[in-house]
Formats: sequence, C-alpha cells, structure tokens
Amino acid sequence: MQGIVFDIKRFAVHDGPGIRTTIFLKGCPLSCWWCHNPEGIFPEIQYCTKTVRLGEKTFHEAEQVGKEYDLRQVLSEIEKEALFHEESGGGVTLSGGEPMMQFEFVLELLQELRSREIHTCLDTSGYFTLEKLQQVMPLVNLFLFDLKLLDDQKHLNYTGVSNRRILQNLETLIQSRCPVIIRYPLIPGINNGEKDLEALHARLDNRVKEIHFLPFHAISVGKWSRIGLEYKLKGLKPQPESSVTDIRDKFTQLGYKVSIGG
Amino acid sequence: MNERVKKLREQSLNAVNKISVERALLVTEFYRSIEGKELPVPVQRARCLYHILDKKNICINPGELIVGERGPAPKATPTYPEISLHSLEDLRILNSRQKVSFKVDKDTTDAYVKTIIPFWKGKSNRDIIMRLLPQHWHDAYDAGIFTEFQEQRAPGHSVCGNKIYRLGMLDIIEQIKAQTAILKSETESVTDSQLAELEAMKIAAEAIIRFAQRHASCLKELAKAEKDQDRKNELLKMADVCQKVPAHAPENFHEALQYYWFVHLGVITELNPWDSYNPGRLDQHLYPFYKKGLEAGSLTKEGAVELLQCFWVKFNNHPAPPKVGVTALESNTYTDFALINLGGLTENGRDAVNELTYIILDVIEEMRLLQPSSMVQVSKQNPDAFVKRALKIIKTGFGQPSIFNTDAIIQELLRQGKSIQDARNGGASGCVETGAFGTESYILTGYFNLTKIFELTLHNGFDVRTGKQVGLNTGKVKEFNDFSTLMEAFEKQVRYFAGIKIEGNLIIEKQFAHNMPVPFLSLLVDDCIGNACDYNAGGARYNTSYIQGVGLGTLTDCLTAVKYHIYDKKKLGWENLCYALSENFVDFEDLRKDLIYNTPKYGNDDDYADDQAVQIFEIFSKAVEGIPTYRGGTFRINMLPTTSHVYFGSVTGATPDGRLEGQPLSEGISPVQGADRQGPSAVIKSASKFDHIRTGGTLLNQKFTPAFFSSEEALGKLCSLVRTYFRMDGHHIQFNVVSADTLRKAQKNPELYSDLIVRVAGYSDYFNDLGEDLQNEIIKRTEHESI
Repeated sequence: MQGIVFDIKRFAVHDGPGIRTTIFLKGCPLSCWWCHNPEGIFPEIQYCTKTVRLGEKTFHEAEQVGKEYDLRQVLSEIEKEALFHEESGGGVTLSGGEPMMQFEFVLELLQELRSREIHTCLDTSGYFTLEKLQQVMPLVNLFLFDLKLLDDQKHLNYTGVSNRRILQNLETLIQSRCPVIIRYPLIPGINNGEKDLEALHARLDNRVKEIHFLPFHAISVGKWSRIGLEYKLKGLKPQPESSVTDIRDKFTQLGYKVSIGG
Repeated sequence: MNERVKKLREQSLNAVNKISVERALLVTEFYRSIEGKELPVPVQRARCLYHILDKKNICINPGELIVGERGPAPKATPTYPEISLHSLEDLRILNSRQKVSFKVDKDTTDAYVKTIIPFWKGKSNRDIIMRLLPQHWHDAYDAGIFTEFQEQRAPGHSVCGNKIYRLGMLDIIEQIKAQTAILKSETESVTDSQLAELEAMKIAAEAIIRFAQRHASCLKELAKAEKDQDRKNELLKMADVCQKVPAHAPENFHEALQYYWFVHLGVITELNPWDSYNPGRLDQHLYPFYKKGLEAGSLTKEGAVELLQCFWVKFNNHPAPPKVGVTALESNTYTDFALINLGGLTENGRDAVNELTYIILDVIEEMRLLQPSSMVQVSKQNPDAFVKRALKIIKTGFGQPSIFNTDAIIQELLRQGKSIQDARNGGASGCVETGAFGTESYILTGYFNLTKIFELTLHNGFDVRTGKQVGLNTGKVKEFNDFSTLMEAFEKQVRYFAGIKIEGNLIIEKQFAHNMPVPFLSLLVDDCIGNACDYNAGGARYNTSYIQGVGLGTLTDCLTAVKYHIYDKKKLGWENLCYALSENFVDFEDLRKDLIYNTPKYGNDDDYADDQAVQIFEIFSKAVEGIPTYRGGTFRINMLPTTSHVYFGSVTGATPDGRLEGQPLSEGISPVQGADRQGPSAVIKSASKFDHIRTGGTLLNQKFTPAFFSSEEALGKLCSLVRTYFRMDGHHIQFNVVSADTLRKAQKNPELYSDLIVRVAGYSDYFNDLGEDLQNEIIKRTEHESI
C-alpha cells in the first residue's frame, strides 16, 4: 500500500497533545483561498523550482513536491520518534491536504498505529463520506476538525465546496461522543465577523468543548507562486492581536476551552 | 532583592577588571626570603600561601555579609608568576585587547619591570614545561592540533564535597597530626616527601585560619567606627563568624557559606587552577543548616535568600585569571566556571530536590549574574516541577541553568570505578565535566582538533598552514580505493597525535607533582591526608585526566560528504575536491552548494551521516581511553569545546562539508550550525547514537527563541524533550533562548545591549564580550522557529 506524502514533520507541537509526528498527505477536495499548505492541494506529485542561497549567490534547484511512501516507510519514520511520543503523551497526526483523500492508505496506517498503541489525531477538513468516517472513527483518538465558514454560500465561494457534508460529519462525531477539537482559521473580512462567530457558537452550542483559533498570516505566499497557483489574498493584513484576544475571551466566557494558534 | 543586595550587585557589575600586582609581589618576596634555604617543595608552597594570606590587603566592601576578596578589591585579579610569567607585551595586550581585557596600571608595569620579571624569567612553570616538551609536541601545538590547559594555569576541576560542613580546619589539623604519627611509627615505609606533604597541609590549614582571623579583626575595627547601629551589629556578628570558621565546623547557614568562601579563596590564591573551585552540590550541603535554622527560629527564608545573594556577588567579583595566547583563544571569557549543582540524587539514591533547591533557583533568576554558573541535575526520580522551574529561568535568556542527566553521570562514574555513594555525591563541573565531588582529581588537559587531523590526513600528514610535515605519511587520498582506507589513515593520524598529546601530559603532570604541589587544595580532597600525597601527585581517591575532542559535527559532515560524493555516488573525484578546498571554494560555488545542501548531515537522525559520528567517537576513544597517567589515574575523553572550536576553526582550511577556511568548527556534539533541519528531536537522536556513558561529559547546545517556552503546555513538551534525551543516556543539554533579531541589533549597537548574556558552550557570557565570529556563529545557529 502506497501513499503520497509531502512532508513528515518531527517534533510537531501544535498538532494535538504532546510531541507528535505529523504526516502530511497530498491531495485536498477543498481549495481554500488562505491555504497554508497549497502544495498539499493537488493529489499528484508535482515538480517546481526552489531557490537556495549561499551568501550573495542564489541557485535554482528542481524540487519534487510529494513522494511515494509505502506503509512500512511511514511507520519507520514514526518509529524514530517513538520515545518522544511516549515520554510526552504525544503520538501521530495525519494531516494534509485532506488525509481522507488517500482513504485506503490512511485506514491501514491508522490500524497499524492502533495495534502499536500509538495515539492518533486526524487533522481534517471533514469533507468525505459518512461511510468513510464510520470506518476511521474507532481508530482515531482525537479529531482536529476544521470549520471555516458556517454560511454555505460563502463556504462554496472561498473553499470550492459546500459545507453540508462537513457539518453532517461533525454532527456524527458529536453524536458518537468522539473527542473533537474545532480548528477555526480567522481570515480578516471573510470569516471573522461577529455574525460568522455567532454562527459558529450556534452550531457548536457547547457540544464541543475546545476550539483553536488560527489567526491568518501571509506566510504561504511564496509557496503558492512556487507551485504555480494564484494567491487571491495578496496584501491581506493579519487580524490585530487585540481583537484576536477579544475573540478568545468571548468564547472562553461562552464556556469553551480556547487557544490561539493551536 | 533588597537595597543591600542591589548595591552589591551593581558594584560587582560596574567594577573594572584589572590586574593586581599584590600577589605577584608577595610571592616574589617570599621566594627571595628562602633563597639558599633547603625547604621541601610542599612546605615552600604552603609557607608561600601563608605569607600571602598573612600579608595581603583585607577588603571588606560596604554592606556585604560574606567577606573575602582574592585581590585588594572586586575584580582586581592577581597573577601567578610561578605558574606563568606575563611579559610586558602580555600586559600591554591584556590592557588593550578588545575582549576580556584587564586594566594594567603604571605601578603594576613598574613592579613587573623592576621586581617580578627579573626574578621569574626562565623560572616559571610554563618556561620549564616548554623547555621539557619535545619538538614534535611543539610542532603539533603550533599547527593547532591540540591546546594545553596547564601551560598558564594549574590543574583544576576540583569540587568541594561535604567535608568542610563537618570539620573545622582545627579538626583537619588533628587528622594530619594523627596521620603523621601513624606514618612515623611505620618507619620502614614512610618517606620524607610524605612527611613534608603533611607538614605543608598543616601550614596551609593554619594559613586559612590566619586569613579568617585577620578578617575578624578588621570587622571589629570597622564595627568600632561604624555609626549605623544596625550595620555595627552586623559587622560584629560577621566578626564572630570569621572567628569561628574555618577554624571550627560551621553550625549555621551563615557560617557554612562563609566557610566555603574562605576555602574558595584559599584554593584560588594558592594557585590558579582551571575552573577555579566550586561548592558543587550546594542545595545538599546547605539544606541541613537551612532546616535547622528555620526550626530553631534563628533563620528566615528571607535571611537565607539575602545571604545566598551576597554569596553570589562574591563569585561575580572574581573573574578568571588573565590568559594570553592560544590559551586565551580556547577559553576566551571572564567566567571561571564555578558550576553550582542543584537537585540530583542523595547518597542513598533518593530524589535530592528540596525546598532550598527551589530557593536557590529563585536566587539564580533574580541575581542574573555571569558567575557563578549553575546547573540542574535531573534524575528520573526528580519531579517534572523541578525541570519546569529550571526551564522558566532558562526562558529569561541568560543561559542558566544548564540541564544534566544525573543517571548518566552516575553510570559514567561507576564505569570508571567509583563507589556508588561517591558517584551519587558527584555531578558536573566546569562546562559539563563529570566528577566525584570531594574525592576526585579530574584534570582537563587540552582540546583536541579532530577536524584538523582529518585535514592533515588529506595532505598525507602535511600542514599547509605552518608548512611542516607534522603528521604521519598515511598515503595519498586519491589512491584510496574505498572509504574504509580513508578511515584507517585517519585513525592512524589520531592515534599518533593522541600519543604526542599524552606524552606531553605525562611530562606536565610530573612537573606539577614534584614542583608545584597544592597542599591547601589537598586538605579538602579525600584521601590526600590519608595517602600523605598531594592532589597534584595522585593523592586523591580517584585520578582522571581528560582530553577533549572538538569538531565532531564538522568532521562527521566532512567524512559523510566524501563517502557520499566520492565513494557512493562517484560524482566527485579527490583531485577536484582537494583543488576546490585549496582554493577555498572560490569558483567552486556549485560544488559548495551541493556539499552544504545536497549531502546527508549529522543532526538529522540519518544513519548515513550519523554512522561517521559513531566511528569518529570510537577512534578517538580507543586512542585515549585507559592509558595510565603519571598520577596513577587513567586518561579518558570528553566532548566539549568552551571557545576552542573558534580557535581550531581559525587554523583549519576549507573542509569537504562546505565550510570555508578559518570558519569556526561545530561545538561540542552539536550539529554544524544550520545543518540540522529536522528539529530538536532529530538532533537529540543523532547525538544519542554514540556512547555518552564512556565519556566524562558531552555538550549539546540547542538554540530556541523565547516563543518555545510560551505556555505551560510548551514547557511540558520541552521537559519531555529533555527527559527523552536522558532516557537515551544523553549527558547534558543546554538551551540558548534569544531571538536572532535581538542578537543582530546587539551587534550593531552593543552599547544598548551590554546586559545581554548568551549561552556559548557550557557556559554563558556577555554577548558583547564575544569575538565577532563567535557572535556570528551564535546568530547563525539553527533557530527552531516552528512554534
């Protein structure tokens, strides 16, 4: 069984509890304007050029984005960090892209991790069929579930898909009492308005206890151009820190456990 | 801190480092007075110490509670002409050099011209050693293959055990007398030198009592003249303390600290041992006095903190004695490496963290001083709260405390043959050096430039810089058909140079054993009295001599680049590579780019590269480990650099890892600056692949921005990182917490950042006091910005 992975991040400390190894799987059904990992959108391996600097001199080098891994290779990368996982109460996070795009690979990987008693997080857009969700539910210790926009029209506009299936999957997770942390990016002028946030609370209604707000930063501009995609949020300024703090305080008052930046 | 401590701290920070000629004059006066007299060497040395302590100026600073200065004023630093005589040129350099300078006034220069130079010229220990060492030693030393710690300073790395908290000097004198009587009754086996050594120890003990009593008298005089009633009472109380210790065993917290401080001054006045002297397990030694004082109502927590803070200031008043030449380059700092140990295990193997441990950590954070250095010993038995408390201080960014693995230290000591109790009473001193406190003489003898030896291997033993054939003829590399042939040639060169270094060490150890004993230090270290043998002659219970390997990361990357590009990929030939190196990569930028960016590197948990690190370690270890020393001990290795990686880099040409000529080597066991691209856990994995337990200390430096310590959760993850490294038997890790931007600003406007302290390698220093290349290196070190 092979998967296409575009990064394996060691000592990942923002993708769930403890010290984690995060596997970034290539391919995503969404194409969010603010995407931080645009190299994860296309499912196929891509080739582009990267710039390397040596003092004053610059070099242009071919770069391959994404690499085929068989299950064993991924597991051996994870094994390298096993002591760190164990010591810190960490584990493995599957991210992307949308990991569930490579469903067969993810399912098998999750089964292997379960059999080794390694804690698993699925960092997901929530955009996949109920049937697939039901298969991974017993194998995932914690869902890092992205919500972007509650307004379906806006969702379609900014991410390329409707949020109907996403919200249904979230309902299923809540009903089944699966551990979930909501990850909500704060994109100025797109989803950080009062109405957007009210809709978020209305939807969650304290049935999910923890929210991570991820403030927008324009750090991925270079990545977009490198893989030949147009970045539509050029010039967008990050939300001022004070208003991020306001949002944190507001949701804390509403009874959520809130953190900023994951 | 209160007003008193604030003032003392300010005074210490503002004091100017200067040379005091007082000691040099007294020593010269003493040696003149015994000319023509037949005195055994140890007795000469003890009487010399007595003369200094009897005659030197007593300095009591306003407001202080712990008294005693090595010189006539804070930071007035003596010289040791019997060890190393400064020339007028040396004094001029010391006075004018940009970094780590010492003011030299006209009186000092005049005294050197008139008295000191004429008496000592050609007679100092350094002069004698340099005459005794063979030509091939000098050639290797000049080529920058190794340094020599004992050429300007005495053997050191001694740490105080708990003896002084149990026994007064009068008790120790009784022990000496009893031992003398026993020896005299065994007339057959006793030697004159044993009796002389015991006699010398007795004089040395009397010298420190005399010194304390002079302080007591002085304090009483000051009290008489003092108008402020509170201070008057304090001075009288301090006089009582000095009257009592070190003559008698201490009975309270104040007496314990003052006793140690007198002993510290005794050790660093007798000679200038490397890494001064060190109270070691301070929280363990002081806790019984703290507890007793609190229970009796004679001590408060605030009182204890104030005394500790006054004690801290004393260390900061005492910069390392001035070094010149190569020795200044290898340890370019005012820091004298007194490393306070906190936590760890008790003698019975239980969690040793106590209430005082946390109080001392508070003191470290609040004082924020360069000296003393501090570290936490972390055993699997110590609580996470202890580690997190230490991490919170590290976060404030002055490089203290560093973190050590008690369980590894104990294994290292046991392997060397120490008893389990002596091992548990041990720790680390200096930068990272393992030792059994109060029972061991473990001497660092010099840094060993592994990368330079590789460079010589590339040139069949020839040193391009000095134009001499200093190494063996091990063959032309272009004729090496495989990688293992190269490794064999390298191993031969390492063994050859280790042999030369050890040959020199034996000559130097012998010189110290016979001509430069330290009867005062010997009083403090078990079992010098019982053996009637000096610390420098093998009197201690355990004796070890270390050679410190430098450049592991750079050399691993060099060997890996050769293996990868020449032997495995076969895309590069030796002639091309050697030519590019000789040209310092000018017009070979593409090659250099591939060597830097497209080559496996140490520090990424990649066995392809890390295998070479393991091999280098084994080669170095085999070349040194187990060889007997002159003092009856054993040669061993450790892996740390202080600042020698900068000096060693400056004498090493361009290297196959893409490093340019003259650039610093990697430090300790850390990866080459910027070569670790997989994060700290991968660095830790790479660094754990060789056997730390077979060393006497390794140094791993990881630089983090403050963001890494931003929340309790983040601290917990760092704590886990440390714990994981220690599960894998890692010896030591230190975190440098500062942003590169801040450092760059500091480089541009040093005047605005004079308080900026950074961790260099095993110790912290003022950023402004570092040379520019070292500053650049610290800026360049990988910043793990990912959080």
